[in-house]
Amino acid sequence: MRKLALTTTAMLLYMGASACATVAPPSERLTTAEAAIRGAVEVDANTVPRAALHLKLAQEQVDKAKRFIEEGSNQRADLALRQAQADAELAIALSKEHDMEEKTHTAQAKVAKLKAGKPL
Amino acid sequence: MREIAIKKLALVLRMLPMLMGSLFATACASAPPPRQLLDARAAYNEARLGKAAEIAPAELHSASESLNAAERAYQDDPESAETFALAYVALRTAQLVQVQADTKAAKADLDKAQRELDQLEADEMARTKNELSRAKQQLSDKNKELAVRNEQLSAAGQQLQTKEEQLAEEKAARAAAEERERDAMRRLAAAAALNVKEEPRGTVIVLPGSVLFASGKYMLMPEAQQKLGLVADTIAPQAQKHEIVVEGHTDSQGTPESNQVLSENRARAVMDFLISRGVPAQSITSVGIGQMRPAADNSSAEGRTTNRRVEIIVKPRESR
Repeated sequence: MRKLALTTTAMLLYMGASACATVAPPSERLTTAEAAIRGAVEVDANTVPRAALHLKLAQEQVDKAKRFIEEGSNQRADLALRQAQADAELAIALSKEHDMEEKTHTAQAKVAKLKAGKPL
Repeated sequence: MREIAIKKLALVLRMLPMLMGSLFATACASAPPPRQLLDARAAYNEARLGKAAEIAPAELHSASESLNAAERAYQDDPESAETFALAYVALRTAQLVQVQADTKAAKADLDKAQRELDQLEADEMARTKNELSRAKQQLSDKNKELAVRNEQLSAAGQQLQTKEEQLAEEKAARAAAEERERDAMRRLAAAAALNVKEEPRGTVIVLPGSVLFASGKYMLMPEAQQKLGLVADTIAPQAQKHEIVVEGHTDSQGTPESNQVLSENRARAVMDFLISRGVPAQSITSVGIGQMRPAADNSSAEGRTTNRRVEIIVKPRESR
């Protein structure tokens, strides 16, 4: 009987804790997302249209997350920052892909020219 | 009995959250998946069936985990903010895999093109080196040829200069010899009181017939021998380089035939005398002109005297 009472008390405490739990502001995730955005800017993501779109989305999510933090909605802020991080990483990848494709096209054009017997 | 009942109740209470979650999940999973989740599934499948599986397996695994997290969230609560957010992240992660796979493929293409480019450039370089080497060899050959030609030209120039110097010397010597001859002729003319003149056919020494022969004769008179001796002394040294012609001329008295014979005899008499006085026989000839080339009018006694004459023509031998 005493065991039953303890279990019931523990459950009630857990439920109470869940209801009143406050999530800490996602400072670390904010830092990571902002670093990813800076990384995207550094690889010139804003000069590649598709990458620029995702960079913009990432920035918007970060702005939204900051508002949520101010409002105390830390969990929603955390979710927004996850999306921002994903967009920023995609922007970086798109920018690198664009750069790689340009280099590839340039090299292939040189090969074609040389094969055609034209000077580079 | 009572204890068994209490144990059953405790078990039910421990399983309650799980059962509630299962009930929630079942209830919620019946709701349609959010668009992001559908897109994420499609993007993941596209990546899985495409080249990403081969060239970006690690990234594909990350996308799989991301999609699973979204699926779990959807199972937990299809309409929660977390479900939407994780589906969004899963979609981006799947897109990221595709982009990374494309980037790796592009990198492979770049590496291939670069290798091809390196090979082509190496071939081009080798070809250029060969051409350069050939050009250098040709240049070297041309330079050698040019050096030989320069030497030949220099030698030819040297020869030409020598020839020019020789010619100049010869010219000067000839001019000096001619001057000496002219001087000798002038001295002869002065000493023997003879008419010596320069004509296109050579230097002409005119000997009046009256000085040399008696009328109608062709024997030299003693006075003539003295004058001809002076002539012989003058022309004998020049005879090797000159042709000497002795011409006999008469006036028009008598028949042309007799005048012809007389002129021939007189010319021969003068020639024989000059030979006897040292003029080489192979350098001298004689010819009778008769009355054919008068120097003056035959109608007067004075003219006829002028026409009776012997001319000794001294002309330079033509160089062969």
